[in-house]
Amino acid sequence: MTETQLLQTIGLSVLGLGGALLLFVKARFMRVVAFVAMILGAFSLVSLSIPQLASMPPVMEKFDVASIKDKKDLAGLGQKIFFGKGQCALCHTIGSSEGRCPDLKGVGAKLTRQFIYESLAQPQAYVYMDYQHEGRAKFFPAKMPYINKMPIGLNNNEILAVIAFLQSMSGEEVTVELSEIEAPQDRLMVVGDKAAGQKVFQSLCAKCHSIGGEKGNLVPVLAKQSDAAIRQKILSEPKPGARNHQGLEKLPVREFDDLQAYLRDVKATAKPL
Amino acid sequence: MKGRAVYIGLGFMILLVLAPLALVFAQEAPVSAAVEYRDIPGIGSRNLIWIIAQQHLLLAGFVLGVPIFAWVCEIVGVRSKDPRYDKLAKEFTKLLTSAYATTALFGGILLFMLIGLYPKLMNYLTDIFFPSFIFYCVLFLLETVTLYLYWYGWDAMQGRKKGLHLFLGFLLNVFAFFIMIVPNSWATFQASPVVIGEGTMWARAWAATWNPTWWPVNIHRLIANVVLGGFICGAYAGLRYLMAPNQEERVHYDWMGYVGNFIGVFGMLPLPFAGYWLMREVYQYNQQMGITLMGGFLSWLFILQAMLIGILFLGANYYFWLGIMYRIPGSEPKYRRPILIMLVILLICLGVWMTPHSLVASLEEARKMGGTHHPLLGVFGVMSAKMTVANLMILVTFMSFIMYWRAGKQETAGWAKAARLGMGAILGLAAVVVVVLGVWGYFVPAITRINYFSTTQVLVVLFVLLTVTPLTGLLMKSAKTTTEMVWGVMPPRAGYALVLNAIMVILLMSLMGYARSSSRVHWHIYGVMQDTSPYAYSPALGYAAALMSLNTFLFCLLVAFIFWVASLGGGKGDVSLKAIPDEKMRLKTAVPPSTVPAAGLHRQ
Repeated sequence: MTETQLLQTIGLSVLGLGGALLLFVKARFMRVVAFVAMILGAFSLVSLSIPQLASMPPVMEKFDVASIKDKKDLAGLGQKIFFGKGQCALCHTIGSSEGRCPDLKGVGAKLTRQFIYESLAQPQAYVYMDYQHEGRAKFFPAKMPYINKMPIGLNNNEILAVIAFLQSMSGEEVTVELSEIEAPQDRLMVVGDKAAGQKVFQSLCAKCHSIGGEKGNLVPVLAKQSDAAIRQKILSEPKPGARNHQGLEKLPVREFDDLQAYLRDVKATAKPL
Repeated sequence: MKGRAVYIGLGFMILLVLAPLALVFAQEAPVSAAVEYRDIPGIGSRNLIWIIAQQHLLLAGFVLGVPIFAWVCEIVGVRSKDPRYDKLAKEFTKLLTSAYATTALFGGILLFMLIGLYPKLMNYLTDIFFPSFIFYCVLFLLETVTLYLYWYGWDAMQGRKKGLHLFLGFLLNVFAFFIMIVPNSWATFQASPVVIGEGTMWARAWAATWNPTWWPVNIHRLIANVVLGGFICGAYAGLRYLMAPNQEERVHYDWMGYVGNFIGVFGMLPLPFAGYWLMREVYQYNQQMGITLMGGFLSWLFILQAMLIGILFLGANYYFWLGIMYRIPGSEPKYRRPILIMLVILLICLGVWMTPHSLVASLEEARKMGGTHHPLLGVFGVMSAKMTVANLMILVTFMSFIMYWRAGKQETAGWAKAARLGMGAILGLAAVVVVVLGVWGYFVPAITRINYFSTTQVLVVLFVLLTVTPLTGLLMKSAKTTTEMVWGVMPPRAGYALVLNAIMVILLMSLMGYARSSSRVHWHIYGVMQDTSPYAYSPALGYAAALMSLNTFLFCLLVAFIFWVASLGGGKGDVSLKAIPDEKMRLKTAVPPSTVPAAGLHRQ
């Protein structure tokens, strides 16, 4: 006997017992008790007659680097994350327009890898309402969450795996290299030009920060932070009214990558500006 | 009979005392590891917390809701100089006093169980909320002192000191309100946590308290507590009415049942709006949480909610209609037709509200339908239809109330005809606007419907409530009573209707508590602290409903026990006991109200 059947049996028994009491017992209080029991039995039976879905905690896909032999494996893992831990399929569809958010069919062919990465990690920066640029933009009520933050909180490897899946299912060549996956958990994608990043730093960050200078010296800060934490700090949404990092959330992904490459280099060498 | 009841009561007490002994079987954690969870074999830690928390919450809802209308009743009594209201307010407070200690007791048990079974979570919450724990303790002390003074000083503070007594009632409600919103901050923080930065412990606690769903939940619970309190007092009166040994007592409890139902309905009308606001805030806070609730595994829960609310609306209306038929002799021919029309509208609305978005269908059936959406019924499964029928049901219930109010009266004011026409136009126009916006809602983007159409529907219905009620009040002030209202002649099914309404409200609170808790899915604190216990999953609705039914039954028994104990303390002095043994005689005897000709809260 399954749990549902057992509960249905109990519900039916309560309903029957309540009915019998109402029929044969005259004491008012007992009749009211029987009446209440009948209502509750009926409620349980109705509830047991609808689809019984329990919400299980998502199965955490173990990101075992050793098990990834080729890009196909990587895309396969990305697929599991897409439908599992990443919870992407809660809103997005693949090949159907009934989703609450844009359909992702062929997205790997339409968007660059950097654009997809930014859409996941910095979704409110440059995401179009509708990435299909034909006609009037379709409005989607759902807002894309930061996929690298809680509650979903995919790490960099997992995001790269999802990108690989999106490219693969779009018939595109997977541009995520296995060597990027094998990088330490802490390290992020090494894309970007550190020289260009230095210019970005001077134009945007140097107003408040310096490298080795007196005002806002970042060297000790960088030394204590992991790459992921630095990235997170820069990406953090500024509090309303605060001057911190204002406008940085609009930084184009290329320049952001350049800036990060520069900061990583500073951290490694701690050279003054 | 009384001796047997005492034995049953004692048995119940022994059961309550022995039940916690089962905790000695609680699993012990390894000595070396930091204990995150403890479990209890058999029942399970989550189920135990569920049962205790539910009992505590329902009792607390009652204890916080009753002082509001007990105080209002007292004010009405002072203003109208009708001693019945003062007596009724005192009786409400007697129920409150009896339930207060039990609420605190369950709160204490819940706290100990949480500390023992979920130490990791409690450590985290204590770290953030410790200042508000202190504040809460102080509030509890103040509330207890005020309640004692309010209850025990009732008779001593009559006459010139009545003003002081009313002030105590006011204070009681102020403290009760804060006692409600402080723990709300703990629960809402779990659902919608905010980033806690550096700062003093007070600043951190305040930041966590002021989270996005705090105020929507505060308002929603405040209204829901009034509804719960009203309907439970109604059920208590219904039960006492059914068991009344004489006509005098029956007259009293018939009237009390009417007032309880009135309070419940009065609170129920704006409650969906508060719920709507809460859901909006949930969606704005986290899209995913909103989807889990409305479109994910909890979506079927809202069909059950529709069923319960629908039955509650039907029960409340049925009680009004019975009142018109039985308490106002000769009114049946006049009101039979409108009542039938209202019943049909309510049933149609209930049918639409209960229509699921996707039907439970086998693969073959789904193929025949062309998907899980039924070609015709599928249209009713969407929010636009549901918002429309919910508003229509509120309008119909409001009409029932107005009808009851006006029954047996004849307006004498010169402008009465114009006012009646105006009210009819407002009601008719509002219904049309609600339906038109509902249909239009199918053809606009969801965000337009949510932000503008649904909001307009809500505002239109609120406008009706806020204009027709004072207008009718003015009309009734100068109205002439053509048929005296007769109390104590309601058929027994009226008492059962009152009990039904209370059960529906309790089940609704249990159901939506499960929804709120399950929307956090596998998180103790959404996105911050993951539930890593074996109970991290949310059980299916059938299992949850069975537990809710058990909780409701336990709560009813507990309340019956508390009220019975309260009645042992000389409570029957309120009404004289002249036994009329013949039951048929009792039901046929009609006794007019004791002091005012047309009794009823609204007639003052």
